[in-house]
Amino acid sequence: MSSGMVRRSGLTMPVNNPRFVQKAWTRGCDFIILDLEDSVPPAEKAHARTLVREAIDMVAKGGAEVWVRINHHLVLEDLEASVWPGLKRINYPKAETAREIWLVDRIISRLEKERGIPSGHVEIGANVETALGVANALEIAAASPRITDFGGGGGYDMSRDLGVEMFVDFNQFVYGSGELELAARVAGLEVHSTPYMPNPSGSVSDGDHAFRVAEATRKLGFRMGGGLHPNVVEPQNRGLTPTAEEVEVARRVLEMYEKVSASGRAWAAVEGTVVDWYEARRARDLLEWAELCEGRDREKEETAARAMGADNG
Amino acid sequence: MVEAAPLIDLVRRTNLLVSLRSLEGVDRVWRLGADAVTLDLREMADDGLSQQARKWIRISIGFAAYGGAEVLVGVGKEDVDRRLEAGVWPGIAGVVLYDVDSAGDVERLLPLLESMEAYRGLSRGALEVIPVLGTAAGVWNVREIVDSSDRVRQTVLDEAALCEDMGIVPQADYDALVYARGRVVVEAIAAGVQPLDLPHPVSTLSPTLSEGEIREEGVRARNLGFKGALFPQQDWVGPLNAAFSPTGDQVSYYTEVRRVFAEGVARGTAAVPYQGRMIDVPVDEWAKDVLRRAVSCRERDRQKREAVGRRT
Repeated sequence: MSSGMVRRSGLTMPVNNPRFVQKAWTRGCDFIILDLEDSVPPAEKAHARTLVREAIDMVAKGGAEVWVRINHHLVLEDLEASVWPGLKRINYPKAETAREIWLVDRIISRLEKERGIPSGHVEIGANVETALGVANALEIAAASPRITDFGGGGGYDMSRDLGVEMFVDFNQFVYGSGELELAARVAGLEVHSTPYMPNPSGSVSDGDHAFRVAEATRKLGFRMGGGLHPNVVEPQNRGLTPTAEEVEVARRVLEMYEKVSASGRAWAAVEGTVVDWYEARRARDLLEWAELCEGRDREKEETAARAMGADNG
Repeated sequence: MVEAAPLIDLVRRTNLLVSLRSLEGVDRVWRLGADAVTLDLREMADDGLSQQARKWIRISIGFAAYGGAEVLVGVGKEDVDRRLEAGVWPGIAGVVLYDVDSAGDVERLLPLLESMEAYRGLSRGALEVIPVLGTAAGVWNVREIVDSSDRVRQTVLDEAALCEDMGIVPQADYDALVYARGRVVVEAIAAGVQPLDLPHPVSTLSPTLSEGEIREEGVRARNLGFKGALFPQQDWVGPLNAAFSPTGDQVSYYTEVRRVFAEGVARGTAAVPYQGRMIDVPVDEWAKDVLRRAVSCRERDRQKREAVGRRT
């Protein structure tokens, strides 16, 4: 189930805002999205493109993966400005057809070759944000091997396309999210999704809410976060990482399952808990995920320490 | 061909279904303020299609339109040619076609509509088709149905009929149609067609609701993506017109959103914090949509008021 990638938290920021970009590496994100799309005014886009290459190195100093969100209608210009060494993913917004993804894939392939990036290194995040995208979910999900995960189906663009208010007290996106999850599974991709939890205020900086959503997301088996405000980064990292207690319980479950298996039984009730292959598999998944999270945190700390050392030196 | 207005400007929030079996059903509807009135021809017996009945239908069309409503006729798939022949006259805007299971059901209607338009002096392409989906097959085939003709600009999910078709006994506390409803909304909007419905439990259990409650249910429908509803309850027209229109508060809020966003853009940023939320391009685009829709709704309401004024 796991792709091995740890992407619990991510901040999206306009690449033309130097204050955001310069501080981004200190936030502790697993990934950072440099935005050329909705947070950059049309008159600023040409200038913003000139900033991407340098910003990739800048925001990566804390060990975060670097992604760039391009514009749906400015694909060629934005990709030319964005596909440089250090880039991990291009987010393609408002994806509606497989043909669009195929085109993005082709251009990235050429740029990888021209710029010394290993072939196939740059992923494509196909952001489905319209009803038509949902209707074509499976063809989009299967359009390129660069797509490793798939999901979503909500957000401002989708609410606009459906003509619904964004912040209401029920989940108006349940069908679209479900379709994308199914398409992801059918295409053999990791699913990213979050459970619906009401946020009528629409606050993007509420850390408590971010933690509750992240924790519920992990308990449902999903593992990806992301947001717009630094306040949500730590709560997302925490909520999407198994707790020490959960790790301990998982270890005990595995130990018990080994004993049960050794005795020739398929399952047993041990200390009030049913222990069988299913519980054992869940415990293994949790331990594997905890280990990946630990490794990712260590990697970020080391990278950030080196950057601070270099800055101080 | 008739040039259709952009869908965002198609204001048909309330489509009141009216039986032709009694004068009482018809003679007061023009005062109610519905955006559209559908004269239900499904229940008319053979003698209801006589010359006298045709005259009655033509009179009803006139009555229904007094208040500025668009007038449509409702037919099932059976005996459709005779019913259209009896019901399509100048003043008719379209046909509400019930029991649609596939694109073929709509396609079979198209030559009849062309003939009727030519025969009755209507502009070519003037008659819309509003397919009503009330079966599992209809919901499953929604994409081909809404794509079957340019005449389709709205489609209706009939949740009560769908429950019956699927053997579902509606229960107040459980919503069995989340998937079907979502499928119709997404596929219709993807095709540029307005979906219409009042979701469970309103559509399935027909509860008695106060004006405030029906308005709340309409707002919920709007926030699921529906743009209006087809229904027979005359006292629901007012609250549902309001529910499917932007409120005064929304107009004020989104006017301010546009102002704040424009200031941000002038400063070189399209990510502007406002009241704890982040305003960026899609929020500004949505604000434009809400304000445009508010203007369209106000204009439609003005047209109807003027029509009523001419009669009183």
